[in-house]
Amino acid sequence: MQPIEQELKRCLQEADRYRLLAEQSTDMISRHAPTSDWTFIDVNPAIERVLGYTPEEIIGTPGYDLFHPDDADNLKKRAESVRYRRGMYTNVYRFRHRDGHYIWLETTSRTIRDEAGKPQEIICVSRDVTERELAQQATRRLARVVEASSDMILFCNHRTLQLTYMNESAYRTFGAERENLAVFYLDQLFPKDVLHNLVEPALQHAALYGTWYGSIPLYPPGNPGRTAEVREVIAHRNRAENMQVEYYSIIARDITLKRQAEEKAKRQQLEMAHMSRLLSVGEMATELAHEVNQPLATIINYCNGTFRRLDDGQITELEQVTRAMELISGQARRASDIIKRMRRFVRNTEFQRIRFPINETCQEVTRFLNQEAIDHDIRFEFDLDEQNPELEADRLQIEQVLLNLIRNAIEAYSDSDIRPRPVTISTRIEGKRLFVTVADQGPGVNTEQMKSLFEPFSTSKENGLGMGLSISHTIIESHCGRLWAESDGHSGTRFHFQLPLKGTE
Amino acid sequence: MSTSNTTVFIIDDDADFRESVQWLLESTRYAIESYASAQEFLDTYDQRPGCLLLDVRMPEINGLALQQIMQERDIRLPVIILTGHGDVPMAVNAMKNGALDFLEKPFDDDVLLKLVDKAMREAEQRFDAQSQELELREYYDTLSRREREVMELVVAGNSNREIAETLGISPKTVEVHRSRVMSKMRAENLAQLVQMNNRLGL
Repeated sequence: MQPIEQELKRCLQEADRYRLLAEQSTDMISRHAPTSDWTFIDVNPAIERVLGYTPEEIIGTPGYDLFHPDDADNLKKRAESVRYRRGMYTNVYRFRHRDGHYIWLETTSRTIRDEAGKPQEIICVSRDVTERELAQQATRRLARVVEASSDMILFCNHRTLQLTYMNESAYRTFGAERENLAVFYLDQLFPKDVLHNLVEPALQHAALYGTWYGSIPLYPPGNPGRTAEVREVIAHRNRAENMQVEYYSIIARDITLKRQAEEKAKRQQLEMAHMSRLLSVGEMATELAHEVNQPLATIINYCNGTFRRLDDGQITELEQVTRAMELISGQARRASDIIKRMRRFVRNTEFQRIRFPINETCQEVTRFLNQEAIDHDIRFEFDLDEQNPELEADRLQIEQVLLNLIRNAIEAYSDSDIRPRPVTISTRIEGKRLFVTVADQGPGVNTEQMKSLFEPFSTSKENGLGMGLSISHTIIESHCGRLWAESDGHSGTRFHFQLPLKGTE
Repeated sequence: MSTSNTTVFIIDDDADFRESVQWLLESTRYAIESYASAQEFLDTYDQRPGCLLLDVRMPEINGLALQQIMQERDIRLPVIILTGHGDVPMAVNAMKNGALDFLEKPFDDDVLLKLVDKAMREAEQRFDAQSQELELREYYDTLSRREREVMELVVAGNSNREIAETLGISPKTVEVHRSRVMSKMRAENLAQLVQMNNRLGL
C-alpha cells in the first residue's frame, strides 16, 4: 500500500502544483461544456481580472451569451481570426466584460474527447489582447490608408534602391498589374540624368535631415501619357541600429489630370486671345480699310496719270513710265504689308515662346494703329530702354496686350478737348524683369471704374465688348507677370505691365 | 505744262498719295502745288486763285477744321473734299461747311478732272466777286464818317429831308454829302448804291 499511498500523495502534490499553477496563472483557464451554449464548468481566479466575474458567479452560465454578436460564430464560420494547429484552435474575438464593455480575448482551446471520440469538455486558455489588438487594428488601418491613398506611395530599399512596396495608386500610374510582380528599381523609373541630378540628391537630403520636399518629374516608362511628380522623400531610421536609414518612403502624385486641365485652360485662353484679336481687328475695320484704300487710290492715280500722258504723247522717255511703274509697285507692296500685318495678327497659333526686341514691337504696334492715331489727333511718344531689351515670350500675345493698352489710351481722349494728345510708351529693365508703361493724359479713370477695370465685359466704350483688358490681364499672368493701372481720376491713366525677361525664370 | 495761272492746291498728309495726284494733274493745264498739312498751306497761301483738293482725315488740323479757318480768313478757294471709304458723315459735314463737292478715294481721273474744271469756273466767279468787293471796300474806305452816315440812311430809303432831320443838318448839306458818296463809290444811281451796300455786307 505504501507505494500506492506514496504514489497518491505524489499525485495530490502534483495536482496541487497544477492547481496552484492554474490558480496563479494570469491567463484565464476555463472548462466548458461541449454544447452550443458553451457553459462554464470551471474557471481559474484570473477570470476576475480579465472579465470582472468571480468564478462562483460565472460557473454554470452559458459563455455563448458573452460573445460579441459579430464574433459569436467565428468558429463555425472559420473566420480569419481562427487558426487551427495540432488539434488546438486559436481564436481572437470580443467578449463581454462584467461591466458591459467588450474586451479582445485570444483563446486557445482544445476539445477533450472520450475513447469513443465523443467530446467531453473544452479547455480554454484565454488572455486579454485588447491593447495588442487595438494597436494592430490601428496599424491595419494605417496600412489601408497608405494603400488607398490617392498619392503614390513607394517604399524603397536604401541600398539596392529596389521598390519593396507600391500602393494601388502607384501601380495604377505605372500601368502595372499587382498580380505580375514586376520588380521595380528606381533607375527604371527615372532617366539617368534625372536620377543623378535630382533623385539621388533628394535621397541624400532625406537621409541627412529626415525629409525632403520638392518636385521631380516622373514619367512612368511603361505607361506613356501619364505624368507624375515626386513631392516628398522620407528616410526611416532604425532606432536600434545607430539611427541608420532602413528604407525610404517616396511620395509622389499623379498629375496627369491636372496637367490636362492646365493644357485645356491654356488652349481655352489661346482661343479667347484669338477671338479677342479678331474682335480688335473688327473694331478697327474702318481704319484698316482706309489704310489699305490709300495705296490703292495712289496706284490708280499713277496708272491714270500715265495713260493720260501716253494718250497725249507727253511720254518721250521710257524712263518716265518706268518711274511710274516703280511707284505703283511700291504702293502695291505698301497695301500688301498692311494686309500681312493684319493677317499675322489675327492668325490662330499655338503658344510660342521666342526672343524678340520689345522696343521694335512697341513701334510696330503703333504702326498698326497709325490711322486711328491720325483720326484722334494722337501723337505717339517713346521712352524706350536704350539697352534694347529682348523679351522671351509669346510675341503675338504681347503685341495683343500692347495693342489693347494703346487703343485704350487713344480712346481715353475721345470725350475730351484735351490738346495735345500724347500716348507715351516706355520700356525699362529692372533686374531680370521688363517694365512696360502705356500712358495717356486723358481725363483718367475714377476709383469706381478702376475696380472693375480688368473684369470681362466692363467697358466704357460705345462699341467695345470690354474684353481687351480682361484678356490682356490673363495673357500677362500666364507669362508670370503682372498688369495694373494707375490713375488719379482726372489727369491721365498709366497702364503698367512687368514680365520676366526670360520666360523660364 | 500748265497753261493757266490758276493753281490746284492739294493738302494730304500721305506723301505718296499727294505725289500721285500731282502726277495725274500735271498732265493737265493746271499748276499744281501740294502741302503735307493744313498748317503748311495756311503759312504759304497768298490769295492766289485756284481750287483746293483737301483730304478730310489729317492729323492736327483736319479738313473740316481747315474749312472753318478758311471762312474766318476769307479764303474763298472752292474746296473738293477727298474722303476715304466710309467717311460719309465727314463728307456731309464738309458739304455743310461749304465744300463744292466730295470725291471718294480711289477716284476716276475723269471725274476728278471734271470736278477740278468745275471748281476752277467757280473759283473764277468767286475771285471776280472778291476783287469787286475789294474794290468797293477801297472806295468805301475813302468815305468820311458823315458820308457813311448819309449813305446808310440813303440806302435805307430816306429822303434828303428826313436825313437832314435825323442828322440835324440842312437838306442842302445832305445833298452835297450824297453826291460825294455817289461819286466816291462810283455809283451811277441809287439802285447801284443799294447793291453795293449789300455786297459790302454792311
